[in-house]
Amino acid sequence: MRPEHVQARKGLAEMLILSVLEGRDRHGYEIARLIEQRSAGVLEYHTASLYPVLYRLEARGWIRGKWVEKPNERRRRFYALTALGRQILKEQRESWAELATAITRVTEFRNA
Amino acid sequence: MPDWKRYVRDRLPELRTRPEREAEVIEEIAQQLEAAYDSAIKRGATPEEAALAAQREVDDWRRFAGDIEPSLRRPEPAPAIGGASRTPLLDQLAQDLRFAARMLARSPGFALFAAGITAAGIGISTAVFSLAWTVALRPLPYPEPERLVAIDTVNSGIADAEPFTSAPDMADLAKSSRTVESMAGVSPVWNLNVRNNEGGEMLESLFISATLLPILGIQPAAGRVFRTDEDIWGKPVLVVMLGYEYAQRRFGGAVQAVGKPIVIEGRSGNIVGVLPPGFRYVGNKPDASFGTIDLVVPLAVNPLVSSRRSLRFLQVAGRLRPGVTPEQARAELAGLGRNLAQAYPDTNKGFDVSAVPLTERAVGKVRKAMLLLLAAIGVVLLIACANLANALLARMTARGQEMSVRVALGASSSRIFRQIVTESALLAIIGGAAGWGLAHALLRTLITLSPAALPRRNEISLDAAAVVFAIAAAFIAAVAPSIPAAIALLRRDPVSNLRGRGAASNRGASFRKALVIAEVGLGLVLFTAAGLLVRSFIAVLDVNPGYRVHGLATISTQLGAGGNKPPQERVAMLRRIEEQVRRVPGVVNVGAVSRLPLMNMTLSSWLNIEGRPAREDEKRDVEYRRANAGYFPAMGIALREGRIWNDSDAQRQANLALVNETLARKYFPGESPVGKRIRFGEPSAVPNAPWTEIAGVVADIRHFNLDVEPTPEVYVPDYLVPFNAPILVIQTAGDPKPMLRELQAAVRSAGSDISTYKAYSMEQLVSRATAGRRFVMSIVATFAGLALLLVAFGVYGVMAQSVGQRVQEIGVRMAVGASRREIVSMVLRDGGRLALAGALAGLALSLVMARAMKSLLFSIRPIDPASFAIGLAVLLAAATLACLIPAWRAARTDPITALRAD
Repeated sequence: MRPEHVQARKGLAEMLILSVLEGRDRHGYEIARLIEQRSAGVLEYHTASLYPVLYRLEARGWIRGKWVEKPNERRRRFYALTALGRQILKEQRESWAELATAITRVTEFRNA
Repeated sequence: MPDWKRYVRDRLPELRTRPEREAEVIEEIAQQLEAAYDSAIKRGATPEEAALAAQREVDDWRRFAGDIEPSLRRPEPAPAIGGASRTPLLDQLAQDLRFAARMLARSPGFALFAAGITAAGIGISTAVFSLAWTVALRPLPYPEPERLVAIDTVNSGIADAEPFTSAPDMADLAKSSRTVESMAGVSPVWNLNVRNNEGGEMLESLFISATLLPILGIQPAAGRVFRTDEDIWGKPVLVVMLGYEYAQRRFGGAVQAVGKPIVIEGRSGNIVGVLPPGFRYVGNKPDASFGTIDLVVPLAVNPLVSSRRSLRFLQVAGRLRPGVTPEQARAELAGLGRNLAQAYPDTNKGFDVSAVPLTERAVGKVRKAMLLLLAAIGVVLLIACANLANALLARMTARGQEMSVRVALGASSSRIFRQIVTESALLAIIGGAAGWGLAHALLRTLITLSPAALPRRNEISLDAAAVVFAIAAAFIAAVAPSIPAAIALLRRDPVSNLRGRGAASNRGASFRKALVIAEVGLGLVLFTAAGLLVRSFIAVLDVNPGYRVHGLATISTQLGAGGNKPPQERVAMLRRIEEQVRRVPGVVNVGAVSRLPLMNMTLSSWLNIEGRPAREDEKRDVEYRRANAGYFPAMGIALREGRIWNDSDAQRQANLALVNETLARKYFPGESPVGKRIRFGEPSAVPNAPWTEIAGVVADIRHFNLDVEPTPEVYVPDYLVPFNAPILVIQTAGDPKPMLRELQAAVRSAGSDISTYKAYSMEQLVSRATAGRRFVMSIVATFAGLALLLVAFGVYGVMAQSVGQRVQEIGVRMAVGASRREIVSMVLRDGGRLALAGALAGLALSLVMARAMKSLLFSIRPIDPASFAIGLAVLLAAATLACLIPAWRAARTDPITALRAD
């Protein structure tokens, strides 16, 4: 990932995590991997950058973390979207889409 | 594979958060690294490369800790977006509840026991509370009840006389008063003859001012209330309102009855409205046979409104003007009363006018008894709480180990505390809900069992106050005891908890002992109270009423509607009735009287004795009754001196009277009243009335109730003024109850316009007269029994625990030669000491309680040695019995296993 992306990433990470959790509950490692997969490797998050965001989202109540124990397996911490989180995700998607359109318009604009 | 947990723990700086949260974070991050390691291996890396890949997940651990710490410490409030709110508290609560439910499910025995006790306690106490609260404390169900007063005319010389007011006095007071906005008069319950298609019946009726229903704010169920122009004295209009139940019965519904014609005492009138269900005037003392009010008629229709000022028969209610206090009204009315006494000294001298809040008139003497019930509830609840607290403490001790392990592993103590309290709260909720349902059923039973004469009986229901009470009771019973238990638990040294013994658990034991002592003391108080009530009740039943109780039937009759049969015809009718009745097999004797005992019927008059005028302030009040000669033998009233009138007296219309022993003692002390002459009424009103000669003295009877001392009474013969509505007393050879129907038929067969109503055996009347006392006694006795059970249980619990803890000590004793018997007596002694301490503690309280109950007792002193002795004996016996099982178990200890156990 290019270093110039770093700052933009922080705000982005929130939305990415939220959207990955939209379909179903996932645990930490799954979240990181999915983001990497879906972005075809462009967006890559290590534990050190993913977890602060994850915990922050949990503290805000946008996601909820729960230890889940399956028989014969070690317990894992799964995260799920809360109702609040769902709403936030919707709003953030809209604002990012708006931003992306705006950026495109500015950068594609050619002086006549 | 490397130990990633250790790796993370070594590198991650200490996080400022709860130890258990930190442990979770470590675990989770370790899983991340492990996952990274695994996936690297899968992609074909070597272990070293994979390890490196995993380590790269977090480069700067210090920075990482700093990044995640803020989120771990406390949840941040979310920036307000779209008005959505977060509820971490609710989530936490839900989690605690789920945890509590799981914990309870793990020990179903305890849960059932605790929830069961809570439900039973709340159910019983809420039901009785509702009853006592409604009868004694709840504000009247009228708008602004604090502005309602009862206006009384009180005879300053006679203590217990009825505070009735005369019609002219009421009119004057209403006109002059500035503080009372509106007044209304209510007559005593009157039996009126109503004729309809099926014949005639007697209805319990009231004569009321047109202002009464508006004052009380009572709306009709159908139709309208009386207008003031229908209640002008001197211009009576026969409009009536029916009782709701009667309208249903006779007309098929309230609405259907409005507008229909009706014949009352031979006169035609109109039904203008129907009262709401269960209507009763709160000031009316119901008599033993009370039903509901079936009819109300404007006061103007009652001929007594134009009677003399000295005829006092009305209860007066008033609504205060806004802003006026009851004290102001009382002062003004007292002044107006003094004015009346000055203006009309003959009739009003010595009479004071006063006002009391209407609620007091409604509740009256029953309040004390209801307060006693509330106290009994309180005692039982406290005892139940103590038991629950003990049970909870025992449970805590058992779970002490589990708690300590959790604390050692990082659970926060505030969290544990919250969970313990939540568990109790869950118990309280379950027990409370079940108890509420129980209260409903119990209350219905209680109402059915309660005496018909209980004031405000028709208002008893589970209302908002009951809800508050139930919630408070659930809280006190289930939640409050858990708080000190939890605190005690958490303050203990975790090590001793793990060991299961130690000084700290002994401290718990002495707290539990204190609880048991308190329980026993409270139980004694309640038991003593019950004992006093029971002894009083037995004493009342023992009273000789002065008349026959068994083998006596009573039937109220009316000779013709409207009461305008000529005297000879009334005499003939009564004779025919008695003939018919005597024909019925099993009848021994028949008599007739104007007013019967135990039916709240009273009429008094002034006594004038020839040659002994009354002093200025002396009021010679006597009960005045008419009877025929057959009344006394039929009733079994003994003749003490002189003779009863006979046929030749009737022929010459001799002016004779019979007085009772009390009158003889009071007004003719040391001499025989026979032959002396008396007159009735105020001296000024009857200056030339004929004198009546006292023919004889009859035995005292209990007229008002078995526990009310007799007052001076006079009987005059019926031949002077033949009965309009004689009450027949019929002595029977066997049980009169099955004969009642036949007897009534016999009475009616003597004439087509003879009506009968209120047929009872004297046993029934006596039973109803004592119903109130019996009711209160039964409830208190039941509570005492409950308390006894609970106390026994509590003692058992504590002794069992104590024995359990002293297993080693007992083993040692047995090993050095103590016999089984000695062990048993040791345990019994310990238990007995506890009980004795409790009894002594409770003794002082019992003395106070007994004194406070004085007015509820009959013929026994409050400090009645028998009741106290019995209470003590029973309680100590129960406590000792409760110790038997633990004692027996202690004696069966095998010393070897005991000594080995730790």
